[in-house]
Amino acid sequence: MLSVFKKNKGSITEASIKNLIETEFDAEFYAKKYKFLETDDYLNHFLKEGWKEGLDPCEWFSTSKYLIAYPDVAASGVNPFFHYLHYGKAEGRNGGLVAKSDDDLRSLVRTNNFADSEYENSKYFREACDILGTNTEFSSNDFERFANWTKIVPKANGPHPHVKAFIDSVKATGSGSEAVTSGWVIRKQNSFMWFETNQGQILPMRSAFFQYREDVYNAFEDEMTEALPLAGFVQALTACNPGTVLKIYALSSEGAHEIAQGEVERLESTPKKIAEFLASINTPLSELPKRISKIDEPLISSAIAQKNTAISAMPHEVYSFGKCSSPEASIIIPLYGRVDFVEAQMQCFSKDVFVQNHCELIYVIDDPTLVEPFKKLSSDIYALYGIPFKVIWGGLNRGFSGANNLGVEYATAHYLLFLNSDAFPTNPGWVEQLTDVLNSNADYGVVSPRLLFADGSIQHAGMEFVYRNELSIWTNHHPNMGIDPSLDPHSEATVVPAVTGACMLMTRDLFDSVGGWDNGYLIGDFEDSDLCFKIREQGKHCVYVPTVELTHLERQSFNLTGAPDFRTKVVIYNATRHQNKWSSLLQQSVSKG
Amino acid sequence: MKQRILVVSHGHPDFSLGGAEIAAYNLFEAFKNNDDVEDTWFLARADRGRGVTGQIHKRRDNEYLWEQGIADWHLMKSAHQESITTWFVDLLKSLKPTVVHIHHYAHIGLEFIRAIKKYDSSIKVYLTLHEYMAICKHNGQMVKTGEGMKLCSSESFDECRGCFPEHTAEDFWLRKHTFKSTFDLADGFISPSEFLRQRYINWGINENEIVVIENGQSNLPPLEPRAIQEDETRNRFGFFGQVNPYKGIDILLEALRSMTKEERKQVLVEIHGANIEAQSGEFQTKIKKLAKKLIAEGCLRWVGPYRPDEQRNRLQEVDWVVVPSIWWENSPMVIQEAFTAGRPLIVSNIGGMAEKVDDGVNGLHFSARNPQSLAKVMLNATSKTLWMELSENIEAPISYADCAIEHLNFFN
Repeated sequence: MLSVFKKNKGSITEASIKNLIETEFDAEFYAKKYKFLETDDYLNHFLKEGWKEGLDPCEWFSTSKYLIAYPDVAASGVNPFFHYLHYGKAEGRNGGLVAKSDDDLRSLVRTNNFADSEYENSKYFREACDILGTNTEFSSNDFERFANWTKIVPKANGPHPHVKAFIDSVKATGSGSEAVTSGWVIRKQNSFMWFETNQGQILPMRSAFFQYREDVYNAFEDEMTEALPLAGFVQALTACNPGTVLKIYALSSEGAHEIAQGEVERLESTPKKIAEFLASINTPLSELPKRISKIDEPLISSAIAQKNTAISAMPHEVYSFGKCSSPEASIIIPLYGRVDFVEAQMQCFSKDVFVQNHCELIYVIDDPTLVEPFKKLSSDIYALYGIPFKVIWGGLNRGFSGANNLGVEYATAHYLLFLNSDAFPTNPGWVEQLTDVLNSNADYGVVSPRLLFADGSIQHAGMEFVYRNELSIWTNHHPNMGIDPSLDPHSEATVVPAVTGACMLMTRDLFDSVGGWDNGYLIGDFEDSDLCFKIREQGKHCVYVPTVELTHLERQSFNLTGAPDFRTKVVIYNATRHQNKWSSLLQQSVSKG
Repeated sequence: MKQRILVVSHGHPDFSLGGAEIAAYNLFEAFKNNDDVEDTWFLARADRGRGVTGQIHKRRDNEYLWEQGIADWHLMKSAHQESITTWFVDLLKSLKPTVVHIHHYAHIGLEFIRAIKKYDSSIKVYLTLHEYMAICKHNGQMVKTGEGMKLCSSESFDECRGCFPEHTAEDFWLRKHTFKSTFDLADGFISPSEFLRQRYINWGINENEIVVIENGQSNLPPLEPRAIQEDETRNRFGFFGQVNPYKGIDILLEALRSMTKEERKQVLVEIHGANIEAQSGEFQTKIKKLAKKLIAEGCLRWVGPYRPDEQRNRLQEVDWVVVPSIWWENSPMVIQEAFTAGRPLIVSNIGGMAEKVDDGVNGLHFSARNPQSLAKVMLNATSKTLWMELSENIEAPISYADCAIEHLNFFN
C-alpha cells in the first residue's frame, strides 16, 4: 500500500517518524494556534490526529497545502510533514511551505465538516424550535425555559458536524458581574447555539447582536452559500467574573457540542475604559447604533451610574473672593483644559456693571491639573479686577453636565447662566438683555445668544438636528455657521429646536423642575440638546437671541468624519442614547406652542 | 489744576539708550521745568541682575526703578503679578499722580495699567505708542517673520498665524482682546507720527483719542555746514543709530557696492552705529564682509558708537544723514536730531520716514530696500546747490519745552 515507502521498506518505524518530526515540531506554535486542543502532548496529537485534520506542525509548513500540492502523498496516507522532511525536501517539493499569518481564522477552528442528516428530525431540534421558534431573528423572551431545557440536552463528544465558533474576547468589568463577549460563528439557518458560563448563566446565541465580519466571510467563503452571512457576534452577559469560563454549545442530532470557549478577563470598570474596549470591537459604523442600544448602552450606563454615585459622595473644595450681595443671575463657568481664558473673560466682565453687581460668578474646576494653577491665578485676578467670584473643585473630572450641576449646587440667584470660559461677551449689558428676552414670553424656557468665531462669522445661531444616514444617527447641526452675522435670517428672538450649552440662560426653577443636566453621556456631547429637550418636554421653548453676541473661541467643534476612531464612536454612542431618549422630539423641528 | 505726572518707561537712559526711553526721559525733564506741572516722577523698568523681584527702588530724586518682567509675551503678561497690586499701587498712593503717562509697556506688562484705574479711576492714563506692539506680535515691527522680512500692512488673526504657526487664529483673537481691553482703559494716546496713528486707528483706537505729538528736541541752533573746499562736493553721508537688520545698514553698504569704482571715489559714508555685537552671527558676518572691502577702498569709515553728547560733533562732519530702515519706523529720533543740526536726510520712502522727511524739500527719498535706488539718490545728492536748497528748507523741530506743553494741553 505505501508505495512511497517501498524503497526504504523496513527502515521506517513509528519511532523514526516521531524522532524526525520532533526536530522541527513547534509545540508552542501548535498550542497557541489550536486553542481548542484539550491535550498537553501536542507532538503526539499531531502525529496521531492533528495532521489528519489539516493542522500545521509549525509556522512554516502547511499540512493542507502540501497534501493538495502532492496527491501522491495524500494517497499514500503518510504523515505529510514526515514526508517533506524525509523525502520532499530533497526532491524539491516546496508546495507546503508558507509563512502563515496569525490571523488565519481557519486555523482557529476545526474545518472538516460532515453531514448530520438526522438533525432536523431529532428530538432536541424539535424541542428547541418549540421554545425559541425557528426564526433566527430573535423573537422569544423565553430565556429561562430555554436555559432549563439545555440542561437536559446530553453533551455530545467530538466536534459539531459543521457549526464552528470562536470567542475573540470576553471581558467582565471589575465591579459587578457584567461582561461582554465578541467573536464569530459559522452557522446555518436552523442551527441552535447557546452561551454557557461555569457560573450557570445560559443565553441562547440568537439573543446576541450579529454583524457582518469581512475577515470571517473571506476565510470561510466556501461555506457562506449555506451559512448565515452575519457571522460576527457581540453579546452582553451577566454572572461573569474574571476567571469565569464561557463556552459556546451548538446542537446536533447527538446533543450539545462545545464549539468554543474563553476565559473571562478583567476590564477596568470606568465608563471610559469600558467605552474604549467596546470601541475596539469593530462593527460597521452604520450598524453601531443598533449594537449600542442592545449591548453598549446598558453596560456603559451602569458604569456611569456607578461613577456618579461615587462622585456624589465626594467632598468639594470651595473658596471665594469677595461676595456678590444681591445676585440676580448665577453665572456658572466650568474650567477644563486651560485657565488662561478666565482673565480674558474677566476683562469683559470688568466693563459690565450688571455682571459686577448682580451676577454671582461660579467657576467649577473640572480638571485636576488646573486645581493648583488656578489658586494663584484666581487670587491674582481678584487682586487686579476686584470682581467677586467663587471657585468649586469637585475632586475629579465630572464632565460638562456634572460640572454644571455642581456649580448649580452653589448658585443662589433666580437665573442660571451657563457659560463656557472661552465665550466673551461683545458688549456690556448682555445678561440683562438675555433675562429681558426670557421674561418677554411666559412660554420661553431657555435663551441663548448668537456666538461668533474669532473671525466674526456665526458659530451659533440656534441648533437643529440632522439625520446622518450613513451612521443612522441624529446629530446636532449649527445652521448658518460661518456666514456673516448681517446675513443671519433672524434679527430678533426666535424659537429654535435647541440652543447651545456654551451660553444659555434659564430660571433656577425650570432647571430644577427638569432635573438639571443629564450626566449619563460619555465625554461630553449632546448634553445641551438633551437639556433643551427636557425643557421642551415641559412645553417651554428654546429661544435664540441674535441681538446678544459673544465671541466663542471653541477651537473646532468636533466634526463627524466618519472615520472609525474612538471619538467618532463616542459621538455615535451619545447620539444613540440621545435619540433613544428623544426620538419624537428629534423629528419635530420646534416645540408646538 | 496743576498736574502731577508719573512718567513710566520700559527702560532708563542710564542703562539703555533706546529712542523711546530717551524721549520719555527728556519729556520727564521738560515736565520738571514746566510751571503748570506740580510734580513729576520717572518710573523705569530695570533689570538689576537679581531676577524679577517686583520691587520698586529709588534711583535718585523723583526717579524709580521697577524690577518687573514679562511672563507671557504673547499676552504681555507681567512676570511679577503681586507687585502690581501691592508695591506699584503703594507708589501711586504715595506720589498721588493725576496723570500717568506711559511710554512703553514691553518688559513691564499690561496689567499695571488696569491697576492704576482700579486704584483710582480719576487718575488719567495716557499711552505714547512708539511702535506697533499691540498690532504686531513680531516685536511690533509690522514686518513678516522669516526670510526676506516682508513688510506687513495689516493684521488679521489668520495672517498673524502665518508668521507664528505655533499659534492659532484664536490665540491672536485673545491677544488683541487682551491689548484692546487694556487700551480701552486709557484716556488717550499719543503718536509721534501720523503714520503710526493711522495704523492704530485701523486697529481699533478711536480717532478722537489719539493725537500726534512729535518727540521734543533741544533748542540748540543748527550747525554750520561742513566746511568744504571749492572743488569738494556734499558727499559725506552719515548713518546714526543701532546696527540691526531692521535699520537697513546692509542696504546702505550694498548701495556703495552697486556703484562703479569711479562713483565710489566721489562719496564717503560714515557708520556711527552701536550694538553690532548683539546681532546674530550671520548678520554680523554679512555686514563685516561688505564693510571690509569698502573700507579698504576708502569710501566707508566705520566710526562706531557714540554717546548722546558726542552726536553733534559727529553730525558736524557729515552733509547728509541716511535712514535706510527696512521697516516702517514711527518717528526715528535721528531724523529730528539731523533737522536740529541742520542736516538734510536721505530716507526710505515708507512709513514714518516718508512722513517726516519731505522729498525734495528737506531731504530725499529712495525706494525702500533698494540699494540701486539709494546709490542713485546719494550720487545725485553730492550736488552743492541741491544740498544748500534742502538744508535751507529745514525747520527747527519742536523743543522739549513745547513738546511738554503740547502734552499738557492734551492731558487737559
